Amino acid sequence: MKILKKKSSILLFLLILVIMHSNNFFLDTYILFKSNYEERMTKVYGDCGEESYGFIKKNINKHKKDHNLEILNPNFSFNNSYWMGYLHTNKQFDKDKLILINNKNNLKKIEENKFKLFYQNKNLGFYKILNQEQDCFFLQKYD
Amino acid sequence: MIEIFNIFYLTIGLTLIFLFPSKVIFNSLKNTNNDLFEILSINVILVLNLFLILSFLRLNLIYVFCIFAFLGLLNFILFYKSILIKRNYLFLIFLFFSIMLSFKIALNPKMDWDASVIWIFKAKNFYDGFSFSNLSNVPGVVAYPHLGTYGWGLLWKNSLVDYEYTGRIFYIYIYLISIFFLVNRFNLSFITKITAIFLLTILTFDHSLFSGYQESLMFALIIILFETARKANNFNNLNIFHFLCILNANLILWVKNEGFVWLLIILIYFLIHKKYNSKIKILYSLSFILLIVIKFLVFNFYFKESLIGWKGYEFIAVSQIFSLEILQRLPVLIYQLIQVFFKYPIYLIFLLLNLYLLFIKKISYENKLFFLLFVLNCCLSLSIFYFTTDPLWQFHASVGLDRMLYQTSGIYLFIILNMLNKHFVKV
Repeated sequence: MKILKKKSSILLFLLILVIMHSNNFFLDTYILFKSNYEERMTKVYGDCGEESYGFIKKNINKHKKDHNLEILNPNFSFNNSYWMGYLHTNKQFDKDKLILINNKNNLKKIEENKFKLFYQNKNLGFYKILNQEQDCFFLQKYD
Repeated sequence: MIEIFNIFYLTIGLTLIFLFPSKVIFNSLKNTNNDLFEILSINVILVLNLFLILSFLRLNLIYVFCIFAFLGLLNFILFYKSILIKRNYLFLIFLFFSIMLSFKIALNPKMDWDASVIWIFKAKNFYDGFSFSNLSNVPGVVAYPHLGTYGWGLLWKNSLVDYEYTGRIFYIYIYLISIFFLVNRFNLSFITKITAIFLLTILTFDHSLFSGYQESLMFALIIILFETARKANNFNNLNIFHFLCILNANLILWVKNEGFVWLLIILIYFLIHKKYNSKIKILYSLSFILLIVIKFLVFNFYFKESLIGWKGYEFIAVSQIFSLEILQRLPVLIYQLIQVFFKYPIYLIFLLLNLYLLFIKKISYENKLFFLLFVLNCCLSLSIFYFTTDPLWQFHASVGLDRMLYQTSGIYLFIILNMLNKHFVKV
């Protein structure tokens, strides 16, 4: 009886090891220990390109408090900032600043740091670039 | 480190929430046993119905979480202490699975398309303390139901770290409750049960479906519904489990719009099943119709719109149904259906087992009934793409058919395990 119990305990232990191994439990735990959320989000959403988590994260707090920052991303029909938890339900968008992702063709240079912004065939007015990384732009209305 | 601790904290928090309230309500009844996963499943039905009611009120989700967890803790002290502590190793395995699968979401927190354009807005609405009525002010499709996103928002709000993915642990937890509930009722050895659960998670855990989709919740609720219906069958008369089935049907309607189609299939199952008497059949028919009408009225009252299918869905004219242009869709849809069978092999296993039983002439009434459900399920799923006027029907089928069929695959899991237990397992 004791031997049987011992046998089933070993079997159980092995089974749990197999489950852990096949689910990459050890590797997952190690990566979770080693990397932080921002690193993982940047890895899956990109720094600049696709959803551009990295660029948005760097600039998201540089606008009016209690307002949402508009993110124009022609590759996506949704507002990126929602899933990062930055877009607050029922709050107005900051009319002064916005982020443009993935499309420099939307900006037409008028003069030094003065650009005309077009988005989905609409003229959104004149903007200056506050921050740029590749095709990602943090823009402010030109006074 | 904080994220790992947070996953442990949320798993314990969910356990407390789902320990309430069945023991309080059913303690005087002799219908329930001390199977913890049965209790948790019943509580899923009851608590999610309470969440559905609460979602219509503007409440701070931190209070909602604390009150439910406190009631669960009281329940634990009063009723469950002995059940949980007395060598309930399977529950420890359950917690382990829940944490292990949650790690996967934490590692790859990417949301898929529908989650990014529809469901996240609803979850964020509840996260920010708004109610159902405010859903018309957020982006996405207003006529899609919201129940799953309420749980998502609730967990996200009560997480120790303000990371979106933490809310999706809610889906993993309920998915696992359904799998453990399904397996635990069989009289198997502890090791066989864990092996079965492991194999079932390999077959049914699709990481992409936990990236903000509602399919896993629907999958779990359908398993719980069939398990509850089986439990109801053990008693000849009308009993509490029939009412739980009806409450579960209500949840199915409020998770996704396809719920309406699944309810029709489930209703057909109840109507043709010879075990149910006419009184029960009438009860199910009237209740399901009433639930569908209530949902329709609620959406029309709040948002003046309700949907079947996707936004902008329109049926083709009756005269066109058998036109050559529309008939040409059939081979494409059937090909996509076969692809889904390979993607979610539950369907293949179900078909092969049925073929085997047919071959050895041991196919039972129950098998025939489920085969009929299978045919109905496939036909209804395909018909959504067949009958639409949308020229993008092929695209919709390629991204939607697999998820639709995943939702109902739990039905076949139920019968596959029954068949295996009856014909093969001698443990």
